[in-house]
Amino acid sequence: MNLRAQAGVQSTVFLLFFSMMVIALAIVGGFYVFFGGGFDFRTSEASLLNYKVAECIMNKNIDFDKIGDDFFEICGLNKDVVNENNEIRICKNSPDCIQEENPIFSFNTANIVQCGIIGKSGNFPKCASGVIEKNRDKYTILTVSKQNARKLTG
Amino acid sequence: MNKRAEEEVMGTLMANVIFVILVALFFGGMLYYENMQKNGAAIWADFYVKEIVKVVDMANPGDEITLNVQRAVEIAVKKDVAYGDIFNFDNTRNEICVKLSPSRHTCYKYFNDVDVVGAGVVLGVPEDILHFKIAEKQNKAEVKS
Repeated sequence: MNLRAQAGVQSTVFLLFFSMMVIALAIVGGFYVFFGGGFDFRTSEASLLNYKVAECIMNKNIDFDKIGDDFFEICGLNKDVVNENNEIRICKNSPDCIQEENPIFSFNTANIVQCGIIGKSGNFPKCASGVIEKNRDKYTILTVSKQNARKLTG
Repeated sequence: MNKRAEEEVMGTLMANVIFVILVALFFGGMLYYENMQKNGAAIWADFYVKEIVKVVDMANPGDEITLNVQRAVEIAVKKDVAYGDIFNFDNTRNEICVKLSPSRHTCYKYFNDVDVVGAGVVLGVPEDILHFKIAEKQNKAEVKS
């Protein structure tokens, strides 16, 4: 095949791939516009976990000096699931729990610093913050959710 | 035919075959995607699984829960998914899966350390409902609705 003919074939291939891309984008975009981009549950999940932890602190007498992993059993939380999808930090009488160096309870808190930059990106884990008072002590509870739905085929 | 011409024909043939395969893959992929999204099955599965997880996370042992799942059942029926396969509760993994199309589950985990027992879809009361109970954690095996 001569060079001119080759260039013709290549431009046809390029055009075809380009039109395939346009079709794909139109289909995906159409579905996105019609059905929306899904339901981000992480903020709700972080708030629910925050509520559960707050309720637990209020209703149970927890000795945070000794508690360790018993916290999950006492508060009725599944440690494996929390380890996989959530983070918890609890501070007592602290003005800034995110920066606090000695929280009374801290579990799996790699992303907790990002709680200070909420709104920067939709992909960041979602945080919830709550403050409760018990026996004149102020407890700040930070919880994080980073769980996305698992899509399984078959 | 000389060797050079033969190579040229083979090259053109191969290029065409690859091209046809790519086009077929593209349209296959698009059809699959379209089928997944038809009736909003993927979006509704995502919605239902998260709403059920929200309810389970807030529940306490002893609670009995009834949810209207009319839309989910309608979609599943259109997609030939059996009633018993729509909602799947895995107490060992603390995971709930919703299946609204034949080849796809959407799963989400709940952090509340409880078991979901006696799950079942009840049709037409007057709308379709999902009924289940919350029990103390006992590491039970998978329970299907």
